[in-house]
Parts: sequence; C-alpha cells; structure tokens
Amino acid sequence: MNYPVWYLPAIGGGTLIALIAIGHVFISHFAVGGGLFLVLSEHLARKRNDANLLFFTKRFARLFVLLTLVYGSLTGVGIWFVISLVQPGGTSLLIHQFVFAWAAEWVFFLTEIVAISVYLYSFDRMAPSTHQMVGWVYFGASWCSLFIINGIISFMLTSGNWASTGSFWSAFFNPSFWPSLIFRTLMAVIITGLFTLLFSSLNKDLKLRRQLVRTCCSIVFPALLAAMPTAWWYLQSLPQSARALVQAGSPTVVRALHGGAFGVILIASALVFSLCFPFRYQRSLAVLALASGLLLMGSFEWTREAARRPFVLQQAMFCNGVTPDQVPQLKEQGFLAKARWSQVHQVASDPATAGRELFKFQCYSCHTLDGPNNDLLQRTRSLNQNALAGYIGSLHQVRYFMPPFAGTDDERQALAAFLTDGLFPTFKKSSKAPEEVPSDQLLFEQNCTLCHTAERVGTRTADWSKPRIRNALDQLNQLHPAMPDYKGTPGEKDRLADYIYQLNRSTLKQPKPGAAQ
Amino acid sequence: MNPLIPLPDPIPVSWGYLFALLLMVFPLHLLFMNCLLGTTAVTLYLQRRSDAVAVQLATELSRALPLIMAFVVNSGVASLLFLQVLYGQFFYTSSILMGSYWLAVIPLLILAYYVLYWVDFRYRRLGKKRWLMLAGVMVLLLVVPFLFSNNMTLMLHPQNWDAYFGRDNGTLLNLADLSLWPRYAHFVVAALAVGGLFTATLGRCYRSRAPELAAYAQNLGMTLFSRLTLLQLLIGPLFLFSLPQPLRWKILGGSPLAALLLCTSLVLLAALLVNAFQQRVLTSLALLVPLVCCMVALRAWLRSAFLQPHFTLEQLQVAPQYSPLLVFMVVLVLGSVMISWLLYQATIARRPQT
Repeated sequence: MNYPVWYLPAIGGGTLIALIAIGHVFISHFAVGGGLFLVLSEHLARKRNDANLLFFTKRFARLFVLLTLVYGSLTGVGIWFVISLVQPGGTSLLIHQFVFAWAAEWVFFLTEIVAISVYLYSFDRMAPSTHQMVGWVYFGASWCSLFIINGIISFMLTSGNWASTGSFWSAFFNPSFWPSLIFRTLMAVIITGLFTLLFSSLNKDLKLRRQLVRTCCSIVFPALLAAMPTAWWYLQSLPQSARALVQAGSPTVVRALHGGAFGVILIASALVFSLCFPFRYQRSLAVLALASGLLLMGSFEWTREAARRPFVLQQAMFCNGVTPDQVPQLKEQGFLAKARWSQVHQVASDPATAGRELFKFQCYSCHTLDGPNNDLLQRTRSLNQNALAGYIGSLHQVRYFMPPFAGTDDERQALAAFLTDGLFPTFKKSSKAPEEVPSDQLLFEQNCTLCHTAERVGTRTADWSKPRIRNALDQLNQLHPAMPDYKGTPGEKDRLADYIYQLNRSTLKQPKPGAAQ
Repeated sequence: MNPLIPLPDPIPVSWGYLFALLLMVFPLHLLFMNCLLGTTAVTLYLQRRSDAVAVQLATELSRALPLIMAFVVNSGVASLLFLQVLYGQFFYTSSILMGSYWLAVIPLLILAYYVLYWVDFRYRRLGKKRWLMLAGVMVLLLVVPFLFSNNMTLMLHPQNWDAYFGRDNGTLLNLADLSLWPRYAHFVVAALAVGGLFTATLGRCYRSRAPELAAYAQNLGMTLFSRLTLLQLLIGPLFLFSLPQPLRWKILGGSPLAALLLCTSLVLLAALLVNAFQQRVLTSLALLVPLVCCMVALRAWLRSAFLQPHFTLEQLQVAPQYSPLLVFMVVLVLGSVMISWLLYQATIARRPQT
C-alpha cells in the first residue's frame, strides 16, 4: 500500500517472478557445484596425465561460463528487478536490512567473474597448480555468495527473533539458516552431477564417458541420500504454522512435494540405467535426469515459497505488502483512505473502482484474473456477492495461508461486488437478489463454494446419510488434509448438513450436464 | 510533500557512508558501460574495413567485449544497490511506473551478452554475419541506457507520477521531460568516445608484439575519442539549458559546491581535450577517471537538488548497526587482494606467449 502496483491481471507478478526465478535458481546452484567439479576434474586429469579428461574439463569450463556468467548472473539481476516491481515493500525491507550483506555478495560476485574468466582464458597458459588455485578461488567465492544469499532467503521464511531485536545478525543466522545452507549445497552437487552427465553424453570418447557416468553416480547418489535427512532438519526448523502448511497444507504444496519425489525417482532411475548401460540412450537419459533435477529444484522452491505464506517476510509483512500491525487500523479506518496509490479513497465515491483497487492492492500479489497462476475468476464465477463478502471477512481464519482482509465492511462488500458482479456483469448467478438468498444457502456459499461447486458436493455425498454429512462437518480436515476444519457453531453445522443433504437430493432429481466434473 | 511518495525504510548506518559508496562504484559502472557501448561501435565500424590490421584489431576487440559486459553488469549491481538504499522510495516507484520496459532490460542484456560471446567464440566462422550481429548488439545496447535514462529522470519527478492513474500496466516513460534527450545524448556520445580511448589503450598493449596494430588502434581510437569529446561541448550546454531554471542557476554559481564541481570538470575536460588531440593515451585515461568522478558527483548533487522539495537524505531514519559495515569492509579488502592476485597471475601467464 506504500507503493503503486504494476498491474497485469491476466499475467500476474508471481508468474513473472517464477519464470525468471526457476531458471536462475537451477543455474546458480550449478554455478557453485560446477566450480568444485572443475578443480577436482582438472586435478584428476593432471594427476593421471589424462589428456582427454583435461580437454573435457576445458570444454566444460567454456559451457559453464556461458551458462553461469551470462544466464545465471543476469537472471539473478532479473530476480532483483522483478521482485522490486512486484513486491517493492518487501524488497525495500530486504535491501535496507541487508545492504552490507548484498554489498559483500557483490564483492564475491566480482571475484567469481574475475576468477572464472582467468580460469577459462588461461587454461593452457598457467602453471597447473596456479590454475587449480584460481579454480579454488572461484569455488570459494561462489560458495560464499550462496552463504550470503541463503541468509537472506532463509530470513524470509524464518525471521526468528528479528522482529523483537531488529538485529542484523539474528536475522541473518535465522533458525533455518544452517539446514537451508547444507540443503542448497547438496542441491548444488546434485545439479552439477546432472550437468556433467549431460556434457559427458556429448563426448565421443566412450572410455571417458563411462568414467564420467561413474563419477556422476558417485557424487549424486550420496548427495541425494544426504539431502533427505537435511530436508527433514530443514522442515523441523520452520515455525509450526509453516510446517503445518508443508505437511498438510494446500493442494499446491502437496502437488509440489509429489513432483519433488517423482523428480528424485526419475534422477535415480536415469543414473542407474546410465550406469548399467553406459552407451545406450545416453543423451536422452541425461536430458531426462536434468529435467528431473529442474523438477526437484522447482518443487523445493515452490514448497519453500508456499510455506512462507501468508507472509512475504515471515511475521513482518504479508504478501500484499500490508504489515500485521497495520491490519487493525485499516479495518477500522479503511484501506483506501490510507493507500496512497489508490485511485479512490472512499468506497462511496466510486464503488466499482474501489472494488478494482482493493483487488489490485490486496489480492493481485497472488491472484490473477483469467491468468495462468491462481486465477480468481474461476473461483468467484458462481458466487454471489454476500457469500463472497462473508468469506473475505474470515479469509485468514479459514485459510491461514491467506492474509486477512485489511479494510472496513464497506470495502469488503465493494471487493466482493467487483469479484462477482463487477467481473461477470452478464453472468446469471442466481435468480434471487443477494438479500433474498436463504440463510442456509448463504452459509453454504460462504464456506464451501469457493473451493467446490454445489454439483461437486452433491455428487461426492450422493449416497451419504444426513448424520454422516453432519459428522463429516466436525472433521473436515480428516476428509482431506488440505481442507480446513469448519469452525461454525453446532447449530450452523446442523443447518449446513441439512442444506447439503437437500442439495444432494435436488441434484439427483435434476441432474445437470457436466455435473460430475 | 507529494502524497504519492512512499515512506522510506530506515538505513543501518549514517547516509554519508552509503552515499560515499555510491559515488565510488557508479563511476566504475559508467566507465565499463561506456567501454562496452563504444567498443562495440568501433568493432562494428571495423567490420567494414578489409585491411589486415583492421581485421586483427576487430578480432582483439571482440574478445574483450564479453568480459567488459561482465564488469558492466557487476558494477551496475553495486550502483543500483546503494541507489535503492538511499532513494528506494523514488526508484522503486519510477521502476513500477515503467515496469514493462524496465523488466525488458534483462532479456535485452541476456541476448546482447550471448551474441557477444557468439561473436567472440566463432569470430572467423561467422564471416559477414558478424556485421549484422554486432549491429543488433549495438541497437540493444542503445535501448538499455535509454530505458535507464528514463527511469533515472522519472524518479526525480514525483509531480509526473499521477499519470499512473490512467495507465497502471507499467508502460509509462518520461518522454515529455526535456532534459531526457540531452542527458541520453550525453551518455551515448561519451560512451562512443570512451570506446575510442579503450581501443587506443588496448592497442598500446600490442606495441612490442604488433607495432602496426598498436599505431592503427591509437590513431583510430584517439581520433574518435578527441572529436566525440569535443562534441560534448555542444551537448553539455544543451543539457544544462534543459534543466529547470533554478537548478541551472545553482549549477552556474548559486551553489558553491555545484559550481566548483562544474569548474573542476571543465578544467579537466580542457586538459583532456588537449591530450586527446595529441594522442596521449595514458594521460587521457588518467584525466578521464577524475573527470567521470567529478561528473558523477555533480550528477548526485543534481539529483538531490531535484528531490529537495520532497526529500533530503538527512530525513532518512537511522537504525544503527555498524558491524555489518565492518564485515563488508573486511570482505572488500580481502576481495580486492584476491582479485589483484588473480589479475597478476593472468598477466604473468601471458608473458611466455609474447
């Protein structure tokens, strides 16, 4: 609310961040592990006097520079650019809090550039021991970069006691710092192994290829094994709320975790196959393994980002830029009155614009309108305004990972009106005006319809008795870990059970086309 | 105060430290950026020459381009960091207002960087396609500073920010600002000139190995450098007269600091021009660095003068924590030692070849 919003509702800022970040994270971890591989590989080649391995190392260095120095470093700057456009408040806080950490990282970045350039351009012109020392300098600087960035990223997830002390050091060495650092170092090793597999598959020397496949397996398998307990340690370091989100959280986290597990299985299978049949489908397997590595890394980053919700900086700032201590005041005095970049500052002056502005400043940081990422249109299409307004009022209680709505009741209604009738002016939602909607139906729409259509609920409970529905309402979380428990009174639960039971009957009597979808 | 200006975050040390760091790193970025743009232009020009010495010079220059690009990016990161800490509330806002263009800087730079490496690694094999590729890079490298000039001027004009209410999709530019064009022209012409000086400096490295190449590079480079720097005598006043009158008068004497910086810059410029026309490469280089530093200081003064009605750096709240600054200084010293060692090793590694 301090800054304007770069508003592209059909794309979404989160989509842009993801597009840049996914590639960067993958390559930047390779930039760390690859440095270690270069020096070890060169050391081995010179020790064994193996000209082929030395030539491979030199070619590896060239590809390494092209990937890390160009794509890696510029997408790193790109992440900085895009987060300052999408999350300016959070970025500003990180920049101001950690300015000298960023500055130190800049020194390491400069050292990396000089070291890897000297390494590449003086491959055959330098004494071997000096050349390897240059490689070690590169690796040391790149790992120190990881060390610093890790401190800042892990702070976003676990801010520890920073909120009370304000100390740089407690923010930097936060509770998840060490598990995250070790986990990322292991990921760097795994990704480097996968790139080595790919580069080796392009090599025509069969003996060297077999040797490299063995090397890949000997570094990736131990790293994969070590990553598992580290991931568990990492999980334990999270605050209870974040841990709950990961363990039984939203369907997207569950999907991401499944994706990560699938990635690990694919990597292991591709490596085992490469080991057993080193000359068959090498390139395809290497590409598959690399893609699986990307899947694994993407799943990890997605889960980490999701675990941070509803905050962009744990306990300090919600993902829409509102801070927790601002919420009570905004609820009382109104969000629009305080939002310096809103077009209108009162709902009454222009309710339609007010609704749009409230969406832009409070929802758009995570949701798109008809976009690829977290689309709100498909969720609000069938809702009526009052039901949605009721749901918005209890967002944070029902769904912990969503920030609370920070605004007055009028603003809540204006937002609900924008998301329902404002976006679907011609859509026939209900033949009845909002105020005429029966209270049981309103109860159902406020609590169920944002995730499930009425038809879906009807079909799912088609053969359920009324006591069974009522019983299920007491333990929704056990039906599905991502479903929050319903916190209504026993009376409300009775009414809701009645409504669902009746809905079920009416759905069976009047089946609609496509109802089972 | 303009109600649209966001509230700044507190800084961990007194603003003077951060300001000094900004003044230290930004001249580096300008020099590298100028080298990149100018040297690309010289390499592009040499593609039209078929004499052996020109071909050889173009090959050597094209090898340097990707390396220069790496340093442009690196020094740019540091400059943006300290700018954001001091003027974040203005910079983030103007970046958002032109967000669609601003983010385009990244893919444009990635493309330019890859093409430069392509030209370097496959110089001979590319043949005539080199011209086309370098021309493409040149266009990209002209667009990027234009976007930067837009952002750096848009952040100085909060009174123009309300255009956001008519267009919030990040497609605003600062084209209506009269000072944008001479400012951009000043940067581009300076870049082309410095490209000439870099060519001459690189040529000097070949004095003993390839005297003909060295002489050609020095002649071409210093001619470019001297004539284009002379052109700044026309662009500079244009820039000055495009500024609002109160600021112009301050620079011309109203503010002793600004006037002193302008006078020092003019004296250095005069000395530089004399040496440039006499083709003294190292003296010109030695004069260029303090000149750029003076200009950067004047530019920083101008920025604070533009923003003065809205904000001064003294208003930044300080939440003091000096230990991270100390750690940074230690890292900077160690890093400098390490980089010096690396460069020394690279220099002596070349010797057996020569």
